[in-house]
Amino acid sequence: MLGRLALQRLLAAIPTLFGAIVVVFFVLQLIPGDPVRAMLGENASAEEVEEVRDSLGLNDPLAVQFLRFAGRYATGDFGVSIFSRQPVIEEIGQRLPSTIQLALGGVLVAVVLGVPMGVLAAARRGSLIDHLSLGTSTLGVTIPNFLVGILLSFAFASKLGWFPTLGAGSGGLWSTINALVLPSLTLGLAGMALVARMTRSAMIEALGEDYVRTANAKGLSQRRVVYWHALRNAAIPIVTIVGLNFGHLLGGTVVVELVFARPGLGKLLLDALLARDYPVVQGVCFLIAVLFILVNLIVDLLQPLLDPRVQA
Amino acid sequence: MNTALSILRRHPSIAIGGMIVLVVVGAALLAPWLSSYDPAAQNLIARLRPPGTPEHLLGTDRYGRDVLSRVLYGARVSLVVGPASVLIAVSLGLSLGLTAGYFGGRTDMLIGRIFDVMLAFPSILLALAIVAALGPSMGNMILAIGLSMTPTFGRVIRSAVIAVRARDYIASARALGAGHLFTIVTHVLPNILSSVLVVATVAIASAILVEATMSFLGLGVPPPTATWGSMVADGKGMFLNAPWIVISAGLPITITVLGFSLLGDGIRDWLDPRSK
Repeated sequence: MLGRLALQRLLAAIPTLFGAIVVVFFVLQLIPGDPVRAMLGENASAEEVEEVRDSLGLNDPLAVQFLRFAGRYATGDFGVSIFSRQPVIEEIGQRLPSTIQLALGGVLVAVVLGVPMGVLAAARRGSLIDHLSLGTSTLGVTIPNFLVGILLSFAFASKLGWFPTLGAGSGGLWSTINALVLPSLTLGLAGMALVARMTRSAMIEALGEDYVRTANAKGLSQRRVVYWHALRNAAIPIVTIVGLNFGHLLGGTVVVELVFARPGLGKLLLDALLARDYPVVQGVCFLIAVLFILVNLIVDLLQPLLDPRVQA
Repeated sequence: MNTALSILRRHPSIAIGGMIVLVVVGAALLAPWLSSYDPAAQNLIARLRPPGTPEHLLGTDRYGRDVLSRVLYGARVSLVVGPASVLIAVSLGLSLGLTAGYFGGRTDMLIGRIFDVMLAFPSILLALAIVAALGPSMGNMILAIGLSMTPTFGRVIRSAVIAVRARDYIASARALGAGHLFTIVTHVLPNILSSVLVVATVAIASAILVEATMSFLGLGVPPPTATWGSMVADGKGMFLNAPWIVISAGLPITITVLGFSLLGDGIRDWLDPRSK
């Protein structure tokens, strides 16, 4: 049953993936004038320009260019970086683990802090806790994450010295985790705010249902009613918002990796954007879109597991 | 007048948010009168002066530029880019969302697919990639942020249109011989405007955040124009010795974003009391 749903959703994702290739392809077409000149700068010799133009296949008609581009992308060939001359896929491969760690850290922060905040706020509606949690979540989405990063790094790394200010640790497990704490907090804060809000409203709805009244009437403890009956029923909207927020989170890695000097995908993308290394820009953007589509596919597949009423 | 006051009293978010927005707009407009310094003028003798000195209320940065006047002029960039990019997103989102929601069927599916694809890219990435391709300038930034926010608007407008489309008065108008364009302009559009207004106000807040982030990353309006994001980036390395630069530029971003989101939330509660 679940297998059929997985296959169905996987097939439905193919047009979106194809669309993502189209978008990534057209980013290069947006460049006014000669893209190769834009990439190499005014000082490049005519031979260099011709060589890059040839390697990108820019002398062919647009339709041919696109078909070749789509064919390459479909087989995982994202071209070669203009500057490092390395295959883009290799550059991505080197940076991906660090970014995945950061993204998971961000999701963890969003869920571990956001869900209890929302549950408490819903269980004690109108109380001080409710107002505090609303205030925190409003602040969480209004403070820019680069500011959060700078302030956290100042307080907990520079002043207190609990965590390293820069880098991804020196390799060991403890050092890696230690270097992940502040970046994950920075990245997860906005997500935490959204998760808390969604949890609160889903919980308020669940707490108003008949089965909650029944559970209360049976004399079950308030804690058991909230965490066992209501939270399980509020799980789907919470998981959905985490999935939808994952794209935002991946976009945020660009900022967080810059602030904490972590060598990840976001940093790779930013350097490529500033250096106009378009093959790298295209490859990283496409990969991030693929990750986002994948995560939402997983969210879709989780739904029948979380709630048997959702037909698989 | 009385009704306006009672709305403000019952929806303090509108009052507080509106007040914040007014103050920020006022500061941006009155920048030349509130500060006598050119925001780009360097004064290497007066580098990194702390705040509170009579000549420089918020101190100076590492080039001796007056931080207060850079903050005031920086407000202009955020207040132009935010609303202007939302205007682009609203116009594109309206045309696409109206077409999809009104006509339904294949048109709807095609436009929905386009939105799906655009939404697969985090909006900040889409905006960054577009600006990197077109080149950094205020106009390109507005275009990039506007395009990246279009699918969000399109989706909201589409579902609002679908709700209105099913109403009897649409069927009556069509039965009376009204053309599609006439029906859309006179019957559909007025009924979805309030949803558009709410989403647009909140979207200005996110657009300002995206603008600040792009400027922070070095892909915003190029120097010497003062922007809040680039000021934070500039002061980042000196936070231990000169924290006032980051704080003076970071605080206005948060306050402005807060102002627009409070305003949007308040307008939503006012127009749709059930959402609370």
